[in-house]
Amino acid sequence: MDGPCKQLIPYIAGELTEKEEKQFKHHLDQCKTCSEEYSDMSGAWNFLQYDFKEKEVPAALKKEVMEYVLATESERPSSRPASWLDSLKKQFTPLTSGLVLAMAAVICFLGLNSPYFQEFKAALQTDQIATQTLNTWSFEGTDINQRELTGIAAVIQEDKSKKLIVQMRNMPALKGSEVYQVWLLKDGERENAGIFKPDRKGTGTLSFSLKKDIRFDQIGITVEPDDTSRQPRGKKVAGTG
Amino acid sequence: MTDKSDEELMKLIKEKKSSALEEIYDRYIKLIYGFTFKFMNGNEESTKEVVQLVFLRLWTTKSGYDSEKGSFVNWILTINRNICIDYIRKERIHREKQINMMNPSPQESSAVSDEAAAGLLQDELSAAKSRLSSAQYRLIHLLYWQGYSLTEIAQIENEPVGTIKSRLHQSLKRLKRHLELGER
Ligand SMILES: [Zn+2]
Repeated sequence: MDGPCKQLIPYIAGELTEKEEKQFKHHLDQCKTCSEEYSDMSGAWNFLQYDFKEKEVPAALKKEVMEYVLATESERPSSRPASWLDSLKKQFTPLTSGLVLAMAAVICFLGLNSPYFQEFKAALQTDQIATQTLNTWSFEGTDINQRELTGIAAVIQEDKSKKLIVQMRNMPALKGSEVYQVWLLKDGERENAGIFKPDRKGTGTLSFSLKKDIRFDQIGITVEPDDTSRQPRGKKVAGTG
Repeated sequence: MTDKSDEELMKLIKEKKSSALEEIYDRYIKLIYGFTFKFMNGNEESTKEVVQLVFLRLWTTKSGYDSEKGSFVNWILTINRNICIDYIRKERIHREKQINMMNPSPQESSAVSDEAAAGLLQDELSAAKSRLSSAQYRLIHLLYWQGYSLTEIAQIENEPVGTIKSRLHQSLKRLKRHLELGER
């Protein structure tokens, strides 16, 4: 076994890199020796997977597995980009999925190499809804002890209406009736742009309809004691630059 | 759901129909559980964690199952094995535990049984395995069930990788030959 044929054994053992595997598959189509050997050996290899005893499955396992799968999938924004978009889609079902695209556009902030961006490109190709992203921002925490805290915002135009979308991560947990409130800043004036509560993992999303002629330079987020604030009463936790 | 094929169920899973995932669970949990239990050396806690990861993978997989590329059982167990390997490699790094070089004897651990296992007769594989030399058997065990790479096995056995590769080649061919004889 010389040249590319050498790769047959590592291929069967699943030890080739993705690229090598691709190349070898190509070789497999053309090399008679390898393809014969392969069909022999992979047959035996696949037989090995039945070499175990049946074991009684704990009755409670099904519930645990299903709960784990469904909970993990919707709660895993930072570790699994794919499901992050999915969960965003779910949160916005009443709106068009164009919103998701707009949010995904914001994700470009995170860098072109980010897996989010790949996801975004894929979404772009499958989605035709005309939504225009007018502006985007990224948030920083105001407390240096909250370095994990990040977030993004976008203003999007959908048909005739404008919406502000905010997605925050790693927000500190709230107590009692506390809420996070979003404020639009223009010349020192603050205007309410809605409230939200993060989930257990600290991820929170807000969608807020904007007045047609609204103008603002910055966005801030404060912790408010309840949901009745007309002007900020609590501490600022994040802002856009 | 019970009238759906595996492939149809996987399509529904892509559309996030959790009842389809439950149906897959009902059909294959025995297979997945037994396979994982062996891989985890009988540790019930790790088995549970891996089983959860397997179903999470099924739920989130982008590639999906294509019946043209082989049987569903084979597909699902390949995924299962990959997750087991990831899991035990991580564990191994954590614990740096001593490699258990106990030579698993063919008699002790080679029972096969699962009605879903494509009609395999239990005796067939163990008979085929009993034709392997102990070095061949150990190689298969370390590689397939312990998740060691060919290079790692070469280090364990203190032999060149080339030797390990050709041993694997011979072992698989031997297994295949005896399985074929058994099939007749
Ligand atoms: Zn070849």
